[in-house]
Amino acid sequence: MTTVALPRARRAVRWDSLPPLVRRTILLMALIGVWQAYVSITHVSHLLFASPWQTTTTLWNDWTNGSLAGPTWETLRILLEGIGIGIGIAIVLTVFATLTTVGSDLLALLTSLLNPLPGVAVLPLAMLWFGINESAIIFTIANATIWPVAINLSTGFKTVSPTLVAVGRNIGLSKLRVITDVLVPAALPHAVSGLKTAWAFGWRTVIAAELVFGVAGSKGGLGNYINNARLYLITPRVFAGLVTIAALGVVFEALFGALERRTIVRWGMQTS
Amino acid sequence: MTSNRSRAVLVVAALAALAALVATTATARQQVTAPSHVTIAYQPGIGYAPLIVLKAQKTLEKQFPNTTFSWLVLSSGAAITTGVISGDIQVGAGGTGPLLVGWAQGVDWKVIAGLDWGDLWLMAKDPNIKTIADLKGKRIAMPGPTSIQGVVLRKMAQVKLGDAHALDSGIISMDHPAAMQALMTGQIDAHLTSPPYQLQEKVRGAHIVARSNQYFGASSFLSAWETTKFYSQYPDFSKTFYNDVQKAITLINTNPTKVAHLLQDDSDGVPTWRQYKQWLGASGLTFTTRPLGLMRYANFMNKIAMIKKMPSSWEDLVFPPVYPTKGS
Repeated sequence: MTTVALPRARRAVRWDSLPPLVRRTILLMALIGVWQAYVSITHVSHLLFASPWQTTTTLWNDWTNGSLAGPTWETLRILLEGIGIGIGIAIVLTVFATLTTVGSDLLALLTSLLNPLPGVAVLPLAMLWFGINESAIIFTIANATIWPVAINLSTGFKTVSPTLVAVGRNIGLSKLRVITDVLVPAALPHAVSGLKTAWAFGWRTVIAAELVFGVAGSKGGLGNYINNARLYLITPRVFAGLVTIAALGVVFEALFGALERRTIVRWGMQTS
Repeated sequence: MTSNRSRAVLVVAALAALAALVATTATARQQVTAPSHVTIAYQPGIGYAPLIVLKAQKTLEKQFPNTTFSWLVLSSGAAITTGVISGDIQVGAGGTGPLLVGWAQGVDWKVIAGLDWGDLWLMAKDPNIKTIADLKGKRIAMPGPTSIQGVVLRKMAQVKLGDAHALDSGIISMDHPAAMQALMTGQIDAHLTSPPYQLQEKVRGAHIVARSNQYFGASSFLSAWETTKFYSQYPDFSKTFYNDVQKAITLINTNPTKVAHLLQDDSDGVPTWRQYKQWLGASGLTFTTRPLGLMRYANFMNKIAMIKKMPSSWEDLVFPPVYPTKGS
């Protein structure tokens, strides 16, 4: 392989022949260059735009002094609580739907009604029910994650090969054991994609909810950090908050990728 | 004979005055270069009465027939700041907090007219909340952490608790109408507010925990702002605007009944003019174009690091038409 690749590399570095990571890094650097050039050339008001350099120094300062780390953990904690509750309820609903026809009808009705609702839309109602506190945000996140997870799980259950289920029944498994031992592993690709959707929905919801709230709970989260920076007109902080959110998105995307490789790809249920 | 003569003198004088008035308004109309579009933004509250009077009487629309005017009501000074930075708002009005935060961060704006001085009350409904110390860990609503209410809360915390930021984690950003509802339904514990909301809350069973005047003395509450760019481009418009605000304030102070009717019309009849008249009398507001205590606020905000740049004098914060008011 190397003997073939070497002369090609010597001729000219072809874009296609570069590893994906290198290609993406080059693109990222180019984008940052355009960003810096825009700020340097247009002299755009510092109230409207922060340069990559300002953003980087703000990121560094606020991560080292904890003023950005605190809100990030706070947001992640609330998010995990909300998603955890959401997934729990989704599993109960889906199991109920798989076991009974009434449950299946109920789930179909609820998901068709509630899934199209943008997550933050229920925030005003949550504020009335729970007051202006963390519970309202957790409720909103849970609601935003239940439906995509439930839809994905039940699709997963429905698309399991009937032969597999028949085999399970034949060897005398109870209805519950059919679910835990046959349906769940078989529906895993759908479950993982449900989890990814839940994560994306929950993430959006928590940031939006924090932007609506002044302070979420006792300490503010990332949305609050960004909003405060806007109120105090410290634009580099707005950018630093956004970069943090984007970076976390990349990190979690990678984590989900790793999870998929370890499970469903390894088991041959999905090609990477 | 003498009476006839003096009458004749009077008539001549009146005619001369009229002629002079016509002449000046005619020349004024020709000279004033006015922008083609002006958006004026303010917030909910009776403290903005001078602007609402201008809006209801269409004063500016009559003086500048070639200019289209838009009037916006936004929920916080921070929202108005954003609008001014983006260029959507030419004249913004709000409290001293956002004015100074913006000024110190490089928003190139100054006061074109003060609107009033005001006493802002910290209201609570729970009878157990009696002092500032009782507010630790409680939820306190206000338009935002940089609002004038935010500055007042820091001052209260510094004086009573020894730490200006002791109550920061309890700040909840809400506009005054929403916060009043939230206070009444128990969703929040306290509301640092402004007239008429503090008066309404008192009537509905809340009590005063503290008043801003106890901490800052009598001082400016609201003012109207323009960017230096806009001011230097349209100095005549700006001067006329200042004079109009002054006239509106004179009307508020001399004929509150008429003003109450104007406010009622502006809010489509609810609340009634009687209610407005009572509020104007009991609000704790002093309507004046004279800024008072801007430097006192700036000093405190600088001390607690809310702003990092200090104006060298109050005149750094206002445009020339405001100089004669001898503010502070």
